[in-house]
Amino acid sequence: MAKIENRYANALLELTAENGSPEKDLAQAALVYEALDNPETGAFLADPQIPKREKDALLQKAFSGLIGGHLPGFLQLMVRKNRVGLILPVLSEYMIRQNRRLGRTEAKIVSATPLSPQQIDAISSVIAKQVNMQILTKTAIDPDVIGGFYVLVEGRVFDATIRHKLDGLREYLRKGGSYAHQTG
Amino acid sequence: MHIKPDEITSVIKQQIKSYSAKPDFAEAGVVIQIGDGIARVYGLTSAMSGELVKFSNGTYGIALNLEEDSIGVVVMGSDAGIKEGDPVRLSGRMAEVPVGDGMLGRVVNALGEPVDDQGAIRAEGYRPIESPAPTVIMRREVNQPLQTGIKAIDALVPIGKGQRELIIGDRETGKTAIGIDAILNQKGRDVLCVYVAIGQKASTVARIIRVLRETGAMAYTTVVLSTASDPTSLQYFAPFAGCAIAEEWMHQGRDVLIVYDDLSKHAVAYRAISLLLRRPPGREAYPGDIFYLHSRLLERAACMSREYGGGTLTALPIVETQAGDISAYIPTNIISITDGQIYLEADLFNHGFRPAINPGLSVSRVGGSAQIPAMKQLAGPLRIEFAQYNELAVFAQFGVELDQNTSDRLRHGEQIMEVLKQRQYRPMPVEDQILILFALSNKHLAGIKTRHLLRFQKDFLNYVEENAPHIKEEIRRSGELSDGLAQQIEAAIAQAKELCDYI
Repeated sequence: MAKIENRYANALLELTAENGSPEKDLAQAALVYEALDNPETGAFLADPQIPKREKDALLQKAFSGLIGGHLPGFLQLMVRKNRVGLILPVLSEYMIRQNRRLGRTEAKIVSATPLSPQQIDAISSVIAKQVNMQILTKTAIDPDVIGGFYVLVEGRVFDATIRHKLDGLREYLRKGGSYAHQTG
Repeated sequence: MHIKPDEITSVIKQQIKSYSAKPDFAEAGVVIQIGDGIARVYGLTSAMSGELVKFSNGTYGIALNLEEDSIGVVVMGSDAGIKEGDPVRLSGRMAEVPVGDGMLGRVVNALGEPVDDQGAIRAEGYRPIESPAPTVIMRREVNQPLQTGIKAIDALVPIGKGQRELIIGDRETGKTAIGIDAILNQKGRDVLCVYVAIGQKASTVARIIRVLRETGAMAYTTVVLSTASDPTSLQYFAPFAGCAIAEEWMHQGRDVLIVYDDLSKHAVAYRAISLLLRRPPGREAYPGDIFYLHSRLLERAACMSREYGGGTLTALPIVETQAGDISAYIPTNIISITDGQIYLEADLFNHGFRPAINPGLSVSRVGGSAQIPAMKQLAGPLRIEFAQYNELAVFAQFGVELDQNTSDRLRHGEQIMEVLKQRQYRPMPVEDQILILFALSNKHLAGIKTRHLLRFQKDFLNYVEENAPHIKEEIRRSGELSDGLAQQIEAAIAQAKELCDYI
């Protein structure tokens, strides 16, 4: 069963293709996503007691002048159809797929300590070659990895963490020194 | 475990060398929800049902629910340290356990990892915990006896090699004792044993392991352990792991006995997992495939045909009933899957009749074909006499006046009850069983007071052992009771009776 956000995202993708302004649409989608991605706005939009026209007015007012093309129409439609809760998932799906059409993909780099911009660039250039796409990096800090970093990209993981190495060592020792059944 | 210093150093050297190699690259998903031993993982689109996945803390999981854009994974161990957003990698293999003779004498968990203090397991190989049962072509009929050493079972509900016989009864009625006695009796008989403890108290299992060690039974036994405090996932996988270990030996052409203690707790563990995976609940909230869960497990017990090695795998599943209700959901399921059941009754147990086997409700569908001829000859009438006794006993309790025939039958019935009593952890060789059953069915015990019967049994068996060992040898060798042998046994009974005053 196709999910609802996919259907709306499909419509947005087709509109972008028709208008021929992918970069502009993407930037605007990201702007709307960032603006709406907070609990207070979410609560306001989700509240059933607030009339639709007030929600609509807020959205149009907030983004007037900032967004153009088909996005205002999209927001209005979502309010009218009682799908305000889906605005963020649809935009996220749209951005991922639009980026992929443009040969870009998102990679999440998780490390124990913050990485320098040079390190991030170096990692993303290596990853870009592996997946043959441009990389949009997103970083996160997780002290549990002990050292090194791992990258999640395109449903795969590049693991170069101390945690992973130690785990391999632990398994190796537990199996009495045979690599036969050690997994990557 | 002794680790040589250089061994450790060389391992670390190897690891350091491989550290400089390229980073590991595997298909991975992301944990979106974790709790109660169940993880929901986004991604992993190429995961297979039942495939092993690995979490960031080194714990394995099994992919059970494959949905549109996420999968439900059962965590096989502790979920501590796994966070939302952590990567989960595919392993490309199914859950498997180490198998082979290296498992003998070991106590392992449901993953086949040692939990005793005897170091790493020297596995001959690995075997998937889920594998298809032998097909019709690969099997042959069950016709060799598996002696449990318990008179009441070997005589009245005989078990054959490759049979599945359910042990069912309320709590504290001696179910586990029967399983353990059956294992103890395999000493020196070339039958390997696997005891699977599912959701048991650790103290109970520790006691069982001690008994197995003290009696020397551990040498041919593997204990697969999942205690009540282990994650439900491990309780769910334990019997399958035990079965895989046993199956390996069966495929090597050896005889194996496996005791599942107990499958009602296994059903409860599977129910918990299914509900947490949001599978629809059915009767008593058990999932729809609870029957298939046990049928596919027990179907793996088999008696293989000679072309396939001729090995056997006998299964003794144990099920606990509530207040003697054998018509509850799980008991009826397993009764219909197995080839018979041994029903233990709390009343009999409390009246001192131990093992508390109720011969009326206990059956073995393989029956006499798995008995040696001598036992078959003696046990046939025993069942009928016992049934008659039960009927008359109900009638006689109203205090009516009884004729001689009836009171003789009643007395004989009481003697049968008395002879079938047996102490725990004292399995009796089949030739001894035949000697005492011969004395019983030929009414040689008629003159002996019921309360002296067990003493007579002991003296009589000792007498034969010391003065006429050839009788036992003959029974063991031929398995039959010839006329000449019968006369010799009768003579031995007469002499043993004179040893002491049993009246």
